[in-house]
Amino acid sequence: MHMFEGFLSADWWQVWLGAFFTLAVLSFLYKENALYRFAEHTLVGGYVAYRVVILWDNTLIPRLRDNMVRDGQWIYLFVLFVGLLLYTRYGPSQYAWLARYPIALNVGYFVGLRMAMLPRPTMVQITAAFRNLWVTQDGSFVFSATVNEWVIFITTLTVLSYFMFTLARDWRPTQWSGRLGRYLLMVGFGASFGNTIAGRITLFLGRADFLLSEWLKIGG
Amino acid sequence: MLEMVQLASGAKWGFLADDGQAVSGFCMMMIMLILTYYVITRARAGFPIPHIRKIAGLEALDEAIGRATEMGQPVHISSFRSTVDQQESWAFWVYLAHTAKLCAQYDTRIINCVSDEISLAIHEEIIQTGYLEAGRPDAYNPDDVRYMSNQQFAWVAGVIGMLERERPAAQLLIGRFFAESLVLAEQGNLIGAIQIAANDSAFQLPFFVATCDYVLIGEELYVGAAYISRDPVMTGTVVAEDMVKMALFGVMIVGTLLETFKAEGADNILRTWFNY
Repeated sequence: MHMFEGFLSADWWQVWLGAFFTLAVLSFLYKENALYRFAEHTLVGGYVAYRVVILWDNTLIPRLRDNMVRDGQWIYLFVLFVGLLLYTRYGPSQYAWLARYPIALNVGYFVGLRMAMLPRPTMVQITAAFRNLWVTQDGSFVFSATVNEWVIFITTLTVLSYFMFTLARDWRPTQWSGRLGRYLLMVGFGASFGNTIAGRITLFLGRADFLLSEWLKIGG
Repeated sequence: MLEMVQLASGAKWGFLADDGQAVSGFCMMMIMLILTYYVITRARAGFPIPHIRKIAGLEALDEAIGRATEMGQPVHISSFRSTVDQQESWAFWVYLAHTAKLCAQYDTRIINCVSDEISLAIHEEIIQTGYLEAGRPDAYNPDDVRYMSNQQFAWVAGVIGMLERERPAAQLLIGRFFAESLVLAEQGNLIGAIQIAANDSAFQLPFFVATCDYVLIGEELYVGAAYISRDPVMTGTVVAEDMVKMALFGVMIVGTLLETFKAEGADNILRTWFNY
């Protein structure tokens, strides 16, 4: 098997384009260059075009054809009108303010939605913070589980105290609690950083494997 | 059978969905609403309300813009997921307004890369208003507010290309970011920009902490917006939130004591209430 097998077939194009764009993007590691710029503009332009097609196919056409024409839901005309107001910004300046109405409607709707939806997850988090600080199993004390519970309990309270922005910091207990909370946050961030970097290396290895085995046909 | 029992039980309190935490969540929302209204009213009437402590990253915001001005290079400010349905976007708008006004006053270019069509209109409006408030409407350049893509890696490819070509001296990454956070911040680091990040995702914050000069962690993102806007509504909200947090601090301690000392198999009454 060699890299020109199936020359100019659909599979061949797919692999070669994939390899070309992978190398073009990786060339940025050396410096910004024409090859990278070509890959960048292709990606950005391609996705903008894709977005337009998706909006046309999944939003505009179903609303016009199915909801309005087929089902007679003419209320969508009003929605269309409100949406079109966004474009008044590009017309004569005396009508530009009309563009604020669809934006205000959008933001207002989502503020209301967030207010309605947010308290419940918070309740779950609060009850999850009720820890059993003396864990027993079948009547005997379990040390490791108890330590875990204490770590969760202390971390939750000290990190919460770090995020109290009106609490006076000139009192020693609040000062220490906030400081400990910050240190514990950093420990958590460090663990998360290491974990994600390992994931990123796996992604890079995936691309390297593609170049070697699918493009250059080495190994695999 | 289970479905029939659930249907027969009806809504909680006659108007709330028969789900866990429906009533407790509703009560929490009402407490927050009343408390926030009370504190905002006090702040507006000129009565004293608790002060918000200083946050280091916010002090650096003006310094970063000043540095860009001295170097004659632009300031880049962006939030990847800046759609109108995100609370991070609402906070981001305050930072954008503040930065735009400062940039207009100092005659420094401001570049903003957007990933959402509706946000593009909002960001243009905010930056234009900043230039108007600074008394320099002619200096506003709509080409510096750029729609890249709504797809994460296309957006970040466009942004890092722009960073390399235009080399802003300050980069402000404020709002919602995902896997592109490290790519962006690392590129900012490579071009030597002073970087300030504000993010509330536990998964992305480590990258910002490792690569940026200043980071606003978690809720500091929202508090910072209140701090720089000096708006009594936003400040009042932060104060009310802090009051609730202090109350919950006590609730967590009591809940933990009940959980630890309850008899085997017994319910934690506080847990039952909060789950209702």
